[in-house]
Amino acid sequence: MKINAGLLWLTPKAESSSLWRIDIVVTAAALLLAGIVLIAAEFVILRSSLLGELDVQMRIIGDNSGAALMFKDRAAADEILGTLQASPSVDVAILYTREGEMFAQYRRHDIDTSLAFLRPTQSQRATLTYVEYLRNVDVAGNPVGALYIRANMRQLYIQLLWYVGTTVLVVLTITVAAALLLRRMRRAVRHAEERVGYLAYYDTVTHLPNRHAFNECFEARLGESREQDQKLTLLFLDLDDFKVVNDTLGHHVGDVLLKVVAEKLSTCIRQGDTVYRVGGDEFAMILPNIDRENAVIVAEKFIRTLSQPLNIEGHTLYVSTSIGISMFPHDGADTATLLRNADAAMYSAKERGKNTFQYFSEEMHEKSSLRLALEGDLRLALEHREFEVHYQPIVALETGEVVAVEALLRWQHPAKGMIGPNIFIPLAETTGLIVPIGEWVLRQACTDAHAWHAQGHDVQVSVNLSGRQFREEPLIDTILTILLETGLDPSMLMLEITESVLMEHAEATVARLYRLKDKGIYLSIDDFGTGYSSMTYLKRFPVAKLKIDQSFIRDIPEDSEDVAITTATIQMAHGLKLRVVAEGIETKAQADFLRQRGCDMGQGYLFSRPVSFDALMEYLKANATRSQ
Amino acid sequence: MKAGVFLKRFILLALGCVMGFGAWAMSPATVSEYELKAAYLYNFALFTTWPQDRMEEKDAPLVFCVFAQDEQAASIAGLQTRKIRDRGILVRQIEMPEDGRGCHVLFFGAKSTEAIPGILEIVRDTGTLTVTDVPDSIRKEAVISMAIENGRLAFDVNLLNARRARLILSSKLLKLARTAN
Repeated sequence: MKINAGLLWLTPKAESSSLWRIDIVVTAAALLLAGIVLIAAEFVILRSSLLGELDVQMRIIGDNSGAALMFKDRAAADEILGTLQASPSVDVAILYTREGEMFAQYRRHDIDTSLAFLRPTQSQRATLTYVEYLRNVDVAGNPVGALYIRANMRQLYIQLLWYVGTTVLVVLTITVAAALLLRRMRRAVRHAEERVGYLAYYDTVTHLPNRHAFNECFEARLGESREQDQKLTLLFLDLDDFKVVNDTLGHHVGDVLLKVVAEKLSTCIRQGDTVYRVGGDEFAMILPNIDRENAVIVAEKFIRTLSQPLNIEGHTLYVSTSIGISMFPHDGADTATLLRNADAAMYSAKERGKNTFQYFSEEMHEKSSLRLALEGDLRLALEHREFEVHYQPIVALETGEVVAVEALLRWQHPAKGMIGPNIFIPLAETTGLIVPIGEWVLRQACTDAHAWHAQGHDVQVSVNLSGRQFREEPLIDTILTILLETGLDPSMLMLEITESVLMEHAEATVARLYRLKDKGIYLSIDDFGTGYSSMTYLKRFPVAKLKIDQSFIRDIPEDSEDVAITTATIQMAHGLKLRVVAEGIETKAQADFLRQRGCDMGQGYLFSRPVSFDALMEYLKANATRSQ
Repeated sequence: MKAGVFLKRFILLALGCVMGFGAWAMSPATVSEYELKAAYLYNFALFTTWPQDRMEEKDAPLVFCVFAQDEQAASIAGLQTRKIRDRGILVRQIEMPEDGRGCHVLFFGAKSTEAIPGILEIVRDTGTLTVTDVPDSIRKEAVISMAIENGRLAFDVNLLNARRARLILSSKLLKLARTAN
């Protein structure tokens, strides 16, 4: 049994056509019935109008012929009856005297004179072809004779025939028009149905079948594999850093990128296999009955294909992908488990540095469930006041004086103890919790800085801003509000952003950074040297300070490469009139070397580990006494 | 069956009428001529509208006057049983011109010639329908004058006299008149 998701909604065309025919027949029958009723009604109307007309004519003739009858004036009577010539339906009219004698008669020229018209006994007789009337002729209330009129219904039938003809013509016209209209409507409905079906099963951006189609198909394939005791492999594919593309170049470029990726992926697969787009930048593939080696070949092919640079809307983009693989029956027996495990494997691949693939393992499952649990705890941490801000002093290398501190977040988990920022910060970033957490950190740091500033310690506070926070529209307003609330002098606040944040937001960032600078807030570049380290960017941004990443500091002064990089960075920064901080200083040799090379400030365990607010106050007091 | 009986009666009637008409047409001076004229007199009255002041009493009969010595007197007297629009007919036989007052219909024949000018003078504008069958010029003084023509009784209407007598004659009657002026 092969299910093609694309055909699921299609109704057979023949059925639709017979339905159309039934509709037409029903319409025509209804119209015909209406026509027959109308014709019958018209017959009744015409007949009664004929009878009415005859009645009026009889009254006129009777009234006019009274005198003629009384004075036995046949000529006058003939003349009066002769006026009936104007009425084509009257065949015969006869005036009788009071005594019953035929006094005068009128007979239309084409009426056979041999027909004997005998005085009828009824005052009125109507058949299908003629009507007869007999009525007394009165003068001043006295009967002076009688008038007999016989009229044919030829005229009526001719009129009726016209009416029937017109009705039939109208019925035919309407039927044809209705047929055309119905067919058009049906076509439109079928188009709409097809469209709805398409939308239900296909993604409109990439034109690949969507998650819905994937779920149905995967369920079906899983059933087959179970029955036939075969393997079924699921490939889960996620584009690395797709969000960056979307954020920096816009959704349009993002969509085009997805389309190109979809096309590329579709070229990598065997005939009969399908790539599904199951989420924003997630794709999936179902590979029935293949072994591990072949699944690896497919995954590698995907990675290889996508690792080539793509030219999209004038941008050269380097995309990479992380792939997670799970296999039935080894990694799960049902759809939900297999999906979850492929997803976990994909996350593992991302953690391993992206652009790679991973087979699912039990360990991953634990990790992913751990991550899930941690995510839940993180949501509550702010509410439960489990966070704490610690401060690490930054000292002037020349004097040893504390000039600033870096605010660092600590999470005291109620059950798991202290959890490192390298674990929960990325989690906070992906869930978006970083925004409220970051705001809380900023407020806390400003409050604390205001406190030590009040005690006479002229020490700046450095607070890290994550890329996610930077994307929040009201960021600047939030910062200014916090400064106002805490009463901290803006010049006492230093905001640290990583290089990658600057790169991601280029144009908009410049404007926002200048707004901050205008308010007197200092800006610093964190982890310098780990990203693109573009000199052009440094020149464009209103940055006051540059922080050399600790990875370069760790091996100086022994490692000549690190020495070269550090030296060059310090010189370059000074050339741009930026001050330089080195972080991760653990030995006196490192500190000495950096001081010799002109590095302005240092931060690390050599001076102090990150400490609580209270400990910092002690440290500052001691440091102030020592410097004096 | 009923139709058959009717049919027989009708044929007999028709035959009778045709024969009667034939007899009358062949001998105009028979009694039926008087009868016919009397019938005409009745018919004329039927198509005549009198002025309001002559019809004031609601159920008062219409007065038909004829000279006692007139050949027509007997047949006119026969009209007494008939009715005209719910009014009875009173036939008055007059002797003197003065007796003409109050007549609705006044017939004068050849036998009453000498009294005519006098009575005409009296009834001229009193709303009296004057009818005659005299052949001479005095007929011009009547509203309606009858004459035999081609074996048929015809009549002429003098509209001037009718107007003078304040009578309105039905157009149906005028239409049947040989002349109406």
